[in-house]
Amino acid sequence: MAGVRLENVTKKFPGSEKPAVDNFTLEIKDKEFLVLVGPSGCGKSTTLRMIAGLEEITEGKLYIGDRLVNDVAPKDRDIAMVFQSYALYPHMNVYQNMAFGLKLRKFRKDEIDRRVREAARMLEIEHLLDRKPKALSGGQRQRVALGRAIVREPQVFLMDEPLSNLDAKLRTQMRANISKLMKRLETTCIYVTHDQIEAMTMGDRIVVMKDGVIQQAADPDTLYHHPVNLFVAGFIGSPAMNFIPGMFVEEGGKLRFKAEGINVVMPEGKAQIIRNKGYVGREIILGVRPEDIHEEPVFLEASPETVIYAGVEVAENLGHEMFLYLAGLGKENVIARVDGRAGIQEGQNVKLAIDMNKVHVFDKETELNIFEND
Amino acid sequence: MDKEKARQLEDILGVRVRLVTVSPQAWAGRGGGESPKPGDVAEFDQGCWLLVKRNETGLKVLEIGKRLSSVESRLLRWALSQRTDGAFLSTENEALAIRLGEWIEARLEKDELHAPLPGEWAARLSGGVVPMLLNYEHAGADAGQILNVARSFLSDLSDETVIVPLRPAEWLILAPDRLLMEMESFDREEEDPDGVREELASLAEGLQQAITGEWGGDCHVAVAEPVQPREELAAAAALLRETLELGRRFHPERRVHLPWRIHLEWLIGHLPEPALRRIAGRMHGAMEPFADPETAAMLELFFSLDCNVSETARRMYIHRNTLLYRLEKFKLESGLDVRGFNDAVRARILLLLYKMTKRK
Repeated sequence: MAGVRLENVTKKFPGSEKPAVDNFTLEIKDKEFLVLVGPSGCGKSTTLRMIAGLEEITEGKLYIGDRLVNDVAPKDRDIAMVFQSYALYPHMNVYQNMAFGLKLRKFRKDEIDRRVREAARMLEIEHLLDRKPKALSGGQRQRVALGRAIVREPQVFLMDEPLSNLDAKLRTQMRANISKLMKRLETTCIYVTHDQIEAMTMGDRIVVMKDGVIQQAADPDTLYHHPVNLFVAGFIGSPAMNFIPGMFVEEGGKLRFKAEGINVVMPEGKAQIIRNKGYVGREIILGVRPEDIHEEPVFLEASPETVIYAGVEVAENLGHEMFLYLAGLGKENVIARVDGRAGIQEGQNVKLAIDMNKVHVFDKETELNIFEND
Repeated sequence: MDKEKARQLEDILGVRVRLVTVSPQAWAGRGGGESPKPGDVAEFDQGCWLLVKRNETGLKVLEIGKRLSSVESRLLRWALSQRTDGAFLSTENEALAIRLGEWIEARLEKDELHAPLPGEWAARLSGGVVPMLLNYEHAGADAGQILNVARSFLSDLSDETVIVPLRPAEWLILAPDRLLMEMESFDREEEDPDGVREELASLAEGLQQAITGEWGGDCHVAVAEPVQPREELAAAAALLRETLELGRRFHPERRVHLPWRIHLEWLIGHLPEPALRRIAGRMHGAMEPFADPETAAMLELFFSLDCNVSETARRMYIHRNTLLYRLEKFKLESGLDVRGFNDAVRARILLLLYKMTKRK
């Protein structure tokens, strides 16, 4: 087993001035499940392909274990990759598909057989070994693609959106299967996805990327509760964090946040940081997670200074929870996530309160979270 | 001949000796004879090439840092002929494949696309074949190793598969059409051309991934529907080469190229250069938005999904309204509302024209 280290890795494609991946530095620990996440074109797949050896590195160094592998062919990197379009070889049966990589490496037949059957057992596809890919369902194909990687017993697994071709139900199921499998195999895994739910549920650590640059690398909890900038805050979480432009003003010894339809008091701890950093009287962006807007009477009673009033434009009741699209608070709809039994109807005016202890404040120019950056 | 032997020869001759692979064109360019045999020599100012082996990847030669005397030349030829392991001799099949490649190139040059296959091959390629064109460029990998991956990929069919070297780094792979039955997509009762095409695309994708998964590098594969090689081989090679060239030009992000996916590209690709320039000049304003790669990528995806807004937004991982906003912005910039059929066709053609004329 081995870790992976990228030092100032940059990738520039011919004819493009802007690097696809820019000065990427990261150490992935042995046995870690690392997820690269970000919007389309952010450079996450390119990074993975460089680690795999499918793309040349323009600048920087890449180590697998202690070995510099910039110029090492993919086959000699001891990695196994599962692609988004897991092209199973259509003329081979499942067994042959899984055995192909080992056959190329001239493994002994009995060793190939042992590895294929063991992986098949692990993936519960033993009964499919004689079938051709055409006769398999989407989920079964996906498991064969995983099996092809597992039999290699690599030091590092690389997975590029392996679940994106599956329907939502199967995706959820496979998500859990892959996590379980990787824990069992105790192998380093680098997983690329655009899906933040996949990232949050599978990764020991998540790297959020944008425009080829790492925005934040942290465990899921830190990423959700302590995003370093506006992009990470908006990317992680569903529904996304609400962003409300406004200003802090001092009134009667208290620091208040004022925006269209909002006039609430900041708790003293956070207020002091805002004062110290000189954000009083400056335009900022307040970040509020939908679940930090409350409708419960107990909360309203305990937080009279953070109460807001809004009209409900749309109420989406999912049963266990309800999303309220609130009008009149800033320029765009603010979304609140409340209890599904709250009984709130569309068109109703509601009284809510913001948990100001959990809000984030972003500098309007730099978009950095002032509580998470010095 | 391995590197160690080349080093020993270097000691004997007292000059630099390297084992290198050269193309038949380079061999001919240095005055080497046509259809050379092991032991033949091509001379140039600073030295000579001595042919060791001829195979489907080119000519393996010893590059010797001086011209050989007649005695040295004869001795080396004799030494090569004494090898008993056959390593220096091209196999009968390889030699035949090379000759077939030369024959195909000559037919393509003379535009004789339906010329009947020469006698020596007509008997060997009597059944239908699935033709694939492999183009692979990578400084770090030996072409022979790449072809080994291709042969292993075709597994049980590899003995019946012919790999024909064409230009440098380009091979025509002719797999028996029994392959379709192996894929279980060939149903005599109810033929489904779309199903076969889908399977052929998977086959090409699989081959491409098998090669790059081992060696990395820039590997492109084109595949066509089965042909009868007796009269269609040159035509199939021409179709595949054109498909691959057009695919690389119009869709640089693709590695697998399929003739049934590039109709408009074919049409635009065949317009004469002056006509292209004239049209591009007239449509200059409407083409400007394509300079933004994100706009171009968005439209490519939108067109590939039959102008389906929801599906395009889903694949781009953006909200439907965000996509609508971007399409509206494109409409303002280009004057084309791609949600309507006529403007979508115009925009698609303009995008291809843009790739031909502006994006070099």
